[in-house]
Amino acid sequence: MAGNLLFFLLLLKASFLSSGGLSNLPSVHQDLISRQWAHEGQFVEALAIGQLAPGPTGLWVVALGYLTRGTAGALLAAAAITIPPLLALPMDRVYRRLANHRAVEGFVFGLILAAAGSVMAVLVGALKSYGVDAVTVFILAASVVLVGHRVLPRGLVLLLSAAVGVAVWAPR
Amino acid sequence: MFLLWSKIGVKSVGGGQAVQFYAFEHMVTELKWLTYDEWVQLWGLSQIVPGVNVIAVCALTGLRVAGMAGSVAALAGLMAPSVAATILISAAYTQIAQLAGVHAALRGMFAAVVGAALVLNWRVGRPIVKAARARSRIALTASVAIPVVAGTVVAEQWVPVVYVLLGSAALMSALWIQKPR
Repeated sequence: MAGNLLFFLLLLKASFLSSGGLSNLPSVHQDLISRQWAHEGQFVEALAIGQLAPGPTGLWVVALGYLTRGTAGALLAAAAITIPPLLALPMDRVYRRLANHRAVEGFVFGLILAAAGSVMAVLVGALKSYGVDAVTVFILAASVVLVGHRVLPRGLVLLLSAAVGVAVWAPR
Repeated sequence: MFLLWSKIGVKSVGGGQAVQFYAFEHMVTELKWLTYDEWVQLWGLSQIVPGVNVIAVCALTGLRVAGMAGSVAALAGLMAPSVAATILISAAYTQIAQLAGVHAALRGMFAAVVGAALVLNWRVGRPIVKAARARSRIALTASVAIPVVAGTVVAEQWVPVVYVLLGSAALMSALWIQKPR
């Protein structure tokens, strides 16, 4: 139980310092890996499930909660990501003043930039744990082009990549 | 509100941008529950509160249209079906995880996840770098250096991630106080 509470608080902390999507990943990754509450493979699985499942990308932590702690973990994760954005409700009235404040804008921009760099660092680290070969680089580059230029919807790109993965790497 | 947001959530495979698109279509274009200006304002606020932006937008639309009860209904609509689906997919995955081929499929998919994340971060980061460039040379330098330094520090596990995030935010905040040129 104590473990569940700390798990919830760690996710809550990460969510309070994030600005959407995957930006809570570096903090969650560091905290859970260092306690051996999750391993690299579970992050990969959770991120993939989060992309396939409906709803906001931020729900990847719900998949991580399930994979590491079962249904209780999933529900705790859902609560941890729902609470911080609710700050918007009391802020709705004071927003106009605050939004135009340059220091606030700069603060958010700094968070976004630092999160962008560290998210990519964690993702590339996880990718390396599988071993990187020419096919990995090809899939990555192809998804940048296809998603970046909106050629195909993201879900379809993921499924095609899974098919390529099976064709190339699956044991026969 | 509950039904509308469950529809939006379930339709939105592929994250925030899809949710944004469907929510705008339904609430502003079709139902006219919100004006375009109100919508822009909600999105602006959702960008500055912590956490998942879509959750903030969802709660705010509920609040504007039907008060606190609307907010709760909208949130339940967005979260309940999506969380349930995520749990079901996770559970299904644990059943098939040991099968031959699943590992290879995941490996291929994850490479694409990294590619998609690269696109997303580029889209979010580039306008900030542009804005910094319009401000000052030092702001531009900081905006380019922060992702690189943050990435390196996190990859090498030198300090807790929280300090990296807060330090970068404090630095940009200080640089942004100065009036733009």
